[in-house]
Amino acid sequence: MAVALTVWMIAIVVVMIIYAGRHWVLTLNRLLGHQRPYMQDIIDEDLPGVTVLVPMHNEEQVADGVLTALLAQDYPADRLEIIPIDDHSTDRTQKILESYAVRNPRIRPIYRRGEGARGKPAGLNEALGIAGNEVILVFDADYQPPPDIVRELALAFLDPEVGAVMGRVVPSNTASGFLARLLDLERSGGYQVDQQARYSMNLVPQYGGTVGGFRRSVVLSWGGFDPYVLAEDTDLTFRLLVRGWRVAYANKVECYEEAPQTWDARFRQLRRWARGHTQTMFRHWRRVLTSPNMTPAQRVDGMLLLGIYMIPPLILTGLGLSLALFITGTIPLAATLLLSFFAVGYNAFGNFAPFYQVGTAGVLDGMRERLFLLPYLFFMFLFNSWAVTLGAFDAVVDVLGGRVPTWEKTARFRQ
Amino acid sequence: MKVAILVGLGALLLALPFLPGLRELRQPKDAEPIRIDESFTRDPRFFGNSLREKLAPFLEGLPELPARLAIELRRPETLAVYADLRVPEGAHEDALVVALGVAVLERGARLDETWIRGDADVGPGAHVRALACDGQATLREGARILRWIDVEGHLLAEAGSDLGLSASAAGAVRLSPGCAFRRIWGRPVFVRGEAVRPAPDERLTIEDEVVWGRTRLSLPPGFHLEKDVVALTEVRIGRGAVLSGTIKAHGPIVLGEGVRVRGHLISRKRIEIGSGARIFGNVFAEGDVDIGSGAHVGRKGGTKTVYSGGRVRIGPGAAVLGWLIAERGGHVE
Repeated sequence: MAVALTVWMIAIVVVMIIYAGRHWVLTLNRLLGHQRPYMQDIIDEDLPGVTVLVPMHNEEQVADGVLTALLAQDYPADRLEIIPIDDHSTDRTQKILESYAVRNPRIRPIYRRGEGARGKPAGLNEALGIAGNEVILVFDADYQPPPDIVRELALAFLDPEVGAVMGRVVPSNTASGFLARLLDLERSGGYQVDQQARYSMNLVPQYGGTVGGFRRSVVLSWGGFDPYVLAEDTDLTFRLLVRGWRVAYANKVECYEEAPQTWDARFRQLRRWARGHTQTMFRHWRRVLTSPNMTPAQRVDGMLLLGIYMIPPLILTGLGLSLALFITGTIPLAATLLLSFFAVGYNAFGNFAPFYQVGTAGVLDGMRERLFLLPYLFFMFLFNSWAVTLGAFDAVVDVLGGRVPTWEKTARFRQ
Repeated sequence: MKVAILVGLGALLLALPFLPGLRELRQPKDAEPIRIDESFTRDPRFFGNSLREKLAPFLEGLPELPARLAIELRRPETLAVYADLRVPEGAHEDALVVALGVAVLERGARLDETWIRGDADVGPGAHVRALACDGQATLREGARILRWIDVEGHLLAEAGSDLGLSASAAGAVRLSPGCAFRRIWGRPVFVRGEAVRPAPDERLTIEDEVVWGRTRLSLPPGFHLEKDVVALTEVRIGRGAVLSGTIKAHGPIVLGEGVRVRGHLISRKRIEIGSGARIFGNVFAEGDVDIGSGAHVGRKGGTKTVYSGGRVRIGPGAAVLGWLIAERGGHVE
């Protein structure tokens, strides 16, 4: 028993080291390596037709903002269609959409009511059925798209290998409190370093479900999104990848979002992400390992990306086991300390928002005093670990027990 | 006592990393969101139009010309306004300059930021830091733009001239052998001279006869020349081929003489466009781009872009209808 547990602990340590190494490689690439350019410098008058989808559920606080921003896009009016998807709203969302649709024929809302699957994937499927263009872009309702973003995202699809594109998300409400400030740091590391490095190294940049887009015909070719998947963005990324399509990342194509301002909202969001992402891991890991359409490096990165939300539960399990072994006298104190050392080391160098990666991103973004907040990410790590662990266990129960997850919207805070 | 001191020191060490952040949390100095420039529009003629907008208000109700005015922009500046302007050989004017008529810079003359309302003739070896010209501009042999040039009419660049970091024209940009550039906008951008006709290549191999993939040249079902091509390695297209789709390659793309591509060329390495080839879409390469003699990129009435993350070499008689970007510099053969 003791041997098996010790082997388990060593395996955890090895996994932690692999993830730490991955983050080192990505950060060093961002600092020293060749940075792959995106196509935003291209000026092309033959722009493709674009349909923008905006999933909405009780968005009366933000609906006006996102629609106004989309109508102000620097894009030929006859080639831009906007489909807000009102998914069973019970507030004034429908009235707001109706008032816009009357004044702007380019806005063609869908009002989803009655029976049938709810949630973002189901809404997207319904909109794809009526969308008039091949290039589909998606913005969540709390986003504030700048005037050039549709043009710059659409350019990605000049490349016939690109199945999806992802822009950069920047929190707008950083002054709202401690949580938003830490999320700002996390986002910066995740996009400025992690996504850009994966794009530059021809690995697996991820489509994030908003500030991005995909090819309509490709998604429809496999029957649209699975309405019972919580992370339709990760699911799309891997479906594309194993079929030979690639995700382009546009680091300079930026859009403001509203980051969660309460710990409860963030906890729920993260738990849902972890659940959906882990659900996707169970679906795709075999295909990622065997796909002939991926390079070996993409297979490795794809597997590491799929497994990333399993790391906090692994660490917590390892810590619990080591304590149990120590208390029962099975292993000496030194071994327990060894694991603790690796856990702390992983926290510092290997979790998905490691300090040095965020620090590098902060320097690239021209941050100053906010870099002093980096040590506070330690608290975020503890918080994230718990939320992610619960989300991963949710996914395990979903898969083993055949439970169907339900979609839950992140709370909005804009006044 | 010892234990208390040790515990205290330990607590202090643990708290130490958090102390600098406490000040930022209590009195935030860097809490604004990362700036996204929402007013940004991709305008290749931005520099010229911006200078014209800034200087235009100072040209109303001018005293007798020539005049020198003290003006306030981001800092105090001197503005020299002339009717017509001739800068003698080797002379240097260190004010902002506006010429309401034509301007001639003689050999080796130097100007800083300049707005010429008529035609501009920048003489051999003359230097201009930035030039907005409302007429036609000519850069004589060895003339040099240090930052940018923007022209309402045509821009004619003679042999060995340097077009600086950004050159733009509402009309055509005509380049000559030996010109250097970084970004050029023109309709079209073309190189003076007769296209060179290469000697027939008798060394035909199977690659010249059939579609040939050494490793994974992946063609979609029902492939014919109207489909896009995506290749994980190099793509070579033999002379005279016609493709209606886009070519994307992770290796180099090499187009033979007279190839016609209706879509785009996208490569993670370099792109070589053979002499006399016609590309109707954009050209985007992370490496160098070589535009052969007499090759054309773009089509009339539709703006297209050639982007190179490396260097661009453009041969005689070649033309780009739109924007030409060479991140590491361009050169005219």
